[in-house]
Amino acid sequence: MLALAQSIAINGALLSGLYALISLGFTMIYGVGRVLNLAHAAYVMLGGYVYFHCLQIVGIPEPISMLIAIAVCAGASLATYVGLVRRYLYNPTIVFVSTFILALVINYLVVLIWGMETKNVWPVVSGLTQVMGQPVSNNMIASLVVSWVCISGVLLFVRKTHMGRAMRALAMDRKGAIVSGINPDRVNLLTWTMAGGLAGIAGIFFGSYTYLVPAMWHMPMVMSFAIVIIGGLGSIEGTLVAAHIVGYMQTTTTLAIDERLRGVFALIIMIIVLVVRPKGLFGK
Amino acid sequence: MVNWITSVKSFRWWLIAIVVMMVLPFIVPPSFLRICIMANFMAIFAISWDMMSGYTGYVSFGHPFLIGLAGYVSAMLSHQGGFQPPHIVLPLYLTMPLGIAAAVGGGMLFFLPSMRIRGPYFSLISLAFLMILSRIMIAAGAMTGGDRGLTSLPYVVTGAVNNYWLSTGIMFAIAIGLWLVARSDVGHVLKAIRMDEDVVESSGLSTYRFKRFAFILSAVTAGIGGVFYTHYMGSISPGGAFDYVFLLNIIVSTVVGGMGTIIGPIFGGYFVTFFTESTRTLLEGAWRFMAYSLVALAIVYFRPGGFYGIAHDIAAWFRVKRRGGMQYDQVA
Repeated sequence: MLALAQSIAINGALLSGLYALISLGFTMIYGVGRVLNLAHAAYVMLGGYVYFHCLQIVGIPEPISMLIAIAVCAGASLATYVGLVRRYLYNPTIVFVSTFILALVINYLVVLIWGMETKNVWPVVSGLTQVMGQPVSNNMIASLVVSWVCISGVLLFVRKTHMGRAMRALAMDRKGAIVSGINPDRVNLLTWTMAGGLAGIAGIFFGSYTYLVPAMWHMPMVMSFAIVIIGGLGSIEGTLVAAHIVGYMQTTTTLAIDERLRGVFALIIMIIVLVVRPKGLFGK
Repeated sequence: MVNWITSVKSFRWWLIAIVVMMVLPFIVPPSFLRICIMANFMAIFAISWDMMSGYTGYVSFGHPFLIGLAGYVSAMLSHQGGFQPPHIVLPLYLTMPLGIAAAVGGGMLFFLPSMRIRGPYFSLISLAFLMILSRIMIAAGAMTGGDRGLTSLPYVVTGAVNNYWLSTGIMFAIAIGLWLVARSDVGHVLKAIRMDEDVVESSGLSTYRFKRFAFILSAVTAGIGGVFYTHYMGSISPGGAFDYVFLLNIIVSTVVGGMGTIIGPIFGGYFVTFFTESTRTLLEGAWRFMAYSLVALAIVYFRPGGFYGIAHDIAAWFRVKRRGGMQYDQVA
């Protein structure tokens, strides 16, 4: 029983960190542009596959492979904004439908390049460490640390830099921000690039946490929806809190109840939050 | 404002379409008819999506929820194994209405509360319901057959020609019925909700009641399509009913045909089905879906009005040409 609780505590923290990283970009894009990018989770998968390809097929050293994966995802995200979303920024139906189709395009692209079989990614950091008497792989610890570094970095960026303040201003009041001289298009370009990069980092660790398979983006997609709705669409702090609720919920379900019901409870919480407090825990 | 009783003239296109569809079984082989049957079902699903999402702007990702629920309920009740442990096997004329009722009831229980919430929340929550139902259907393996689903279900009618008549009849009945609703004042209110819900609300109309009306029509349509489709295929499985590709096909059919038109989704359904079927021999597996997704993306991006919009533009162009100049009432 104690071992189970410890296991839930450790695995939950790790999964929550990853989920926070995945949902962060999603919620940032919504905050700034009032656009839901349904292809976001597909970038996560793309990041994992590109990293795998560079490292294990081409044989590029680890740090450079990571940079390539992050750059590809950031580029894909930027291209989505410039090529697809910008034209229909104020038509949510078209944005929904087109980013959803794009997610499936990326899905088939991955199938065509890498095939349907599952692929195992080498751990970013190898070895095991004893934490509270439980063996935890160093890869998991590294992923947790990286998640938190990225999250703190984004929070600092949003609070302390000029560009970050512009992002928050746009999220609060679009017209007011434009009147005070903020160029929404430039902020959007930066936000989409950042979101893509974060998805890439998440993809590297998500891939090495589980394995690579073309359907791997489904779960992160649904979970990031649940997280941003529970936390409040567009709120970074809310995303962080909700990611932990959902992450621990999921770990508990997987380890203690039934693996097949993975995700169901998170979605039920999401529905309760929507009924009781539609704007989410931290939404304005 | 169009008064649909007086504008009998606009029925002529329906008559032409019905005549064409009635001639078809006598001139084409059964293999072609089988594709038409699939296209008819896709058109029904697309019309159902259009009635709710195309008109009110509440983008639903949960239509496979309604379709799958209807199909599963009817399948579970009519399956030879029956409900376990009591082995009840009901005849189709009972299970099919029950399936449709389940789609409407389940939809009202889950979707309608979320329609009070505006904007992207509704879409996300509808996708969440779809995921939950899919998980539950897999987990409740004793009744639903789990991952593999239920097979060897009874058929309504057998043979390509009979099924063609059946599916075409249902499709036209639904399409003309909803087309009349959409042309009435209710349809105008629904379109107004898509444009600006606050304005509709402030003119004294309860937008929720109109949305509920649109939703129930949509759910009934989805339920009818779901049960007939399930008993045409003779099987149902989570991989087929709750797959993203199925959801994509429904949405793409509607968008490609033209949202908020009822007629457009029929063309969209035929386009999507014939496109995926005709490329079956040319391209394999993932390439086919890739090509299909890219074509869909291109149509959505360059022509958000879909085929209906294109046809409308061409017709307007001819009118202007014939009368020698643009006139005020033709601009819109």
